[in-house]
Amino acid sequence: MPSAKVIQRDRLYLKAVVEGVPPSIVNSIRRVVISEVPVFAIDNVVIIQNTSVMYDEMLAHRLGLVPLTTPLGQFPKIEECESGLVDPSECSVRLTLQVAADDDMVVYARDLVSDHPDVKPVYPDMPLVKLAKGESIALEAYARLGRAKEHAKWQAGLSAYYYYPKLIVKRDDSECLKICKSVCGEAFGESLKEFDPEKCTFNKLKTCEASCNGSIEVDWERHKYVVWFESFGNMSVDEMVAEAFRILKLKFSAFLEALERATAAQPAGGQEAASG
Amino acid sequence: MMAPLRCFTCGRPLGHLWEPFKSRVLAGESPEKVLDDLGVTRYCCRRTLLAHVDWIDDVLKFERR
Repeated sequence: MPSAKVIQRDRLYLKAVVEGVPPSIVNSIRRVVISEVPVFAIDNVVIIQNTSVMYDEMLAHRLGLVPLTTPLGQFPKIEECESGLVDPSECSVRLTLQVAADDDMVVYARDLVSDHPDVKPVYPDMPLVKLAKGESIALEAYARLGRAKEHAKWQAGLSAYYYYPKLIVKRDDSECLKICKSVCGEAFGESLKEFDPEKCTFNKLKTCEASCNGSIEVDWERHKYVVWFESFGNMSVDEMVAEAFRILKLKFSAFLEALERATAAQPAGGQEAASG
Repeated sequence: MMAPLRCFTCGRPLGHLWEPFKSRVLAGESPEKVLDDLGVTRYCCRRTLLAHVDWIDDVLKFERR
């Protein structure tokens, strides 16, 4: 039976020990978090005036990279936006930027005025461009829901996992302990036996094994992992992981349906049809 | 030109950290400690902040004639 135990958690970070699932499942979740969880990002910029030293396209590129808060519950699902089931305007938000420099100044992300109260820059203190006295910018920007597989600006966060390491101590070796502490300081106590697998990745431990001349042996537990998720701030990790699971389940059911359709169209004994 | 808004490699937002980073390092703190303090843990993000040069100021000189 699969299980998960949370070992570290705050609004943007989650680390857990997951047990009882094949690596393909854990990897699928990681991949969905990285490239499929939708967030808002500016995608279309109408520049009305730009007398700053930055080219229009560079300014637009920087605007695109500004992370925007994404309350997924208030907008249609990403599949509906992509398939055209809802009007595209329902999946986008307009922001405006209007600044004129009376003196030398810095334009920040907070100067972006959003039409939607809950879609706004996550970090208001991000500097966008510097203006000299007399320069000005006026533009309209359209943010829309998108996925990171199209462009990294839509990335909601990161995730990675490593196999739960198993450390077998063959003999006590102070030289080896010294090496291991230089690789994974936090994970080791006073001896090689005092080891915390949640603080040292499997790969780092392998490095330490390789330079220890057989004092220790490193193996890993089958179907047990240390998994972490990090949100970039568009939404909390909880929401991000929940959305990742929703998308993954949707993919599984779409696959099952396709499989059922294929088998129904081709009754048993359809060997020839399959090769044709 | 301007400080990068995100880490070039992993995509973590960094733009908001540039100004505190710059002012604290110029005040004499060690960059290592400042980065640790700001919660920039991965080395890709660390080098993105560390290696940045804000040369928009050099361009702005010509605008201020």
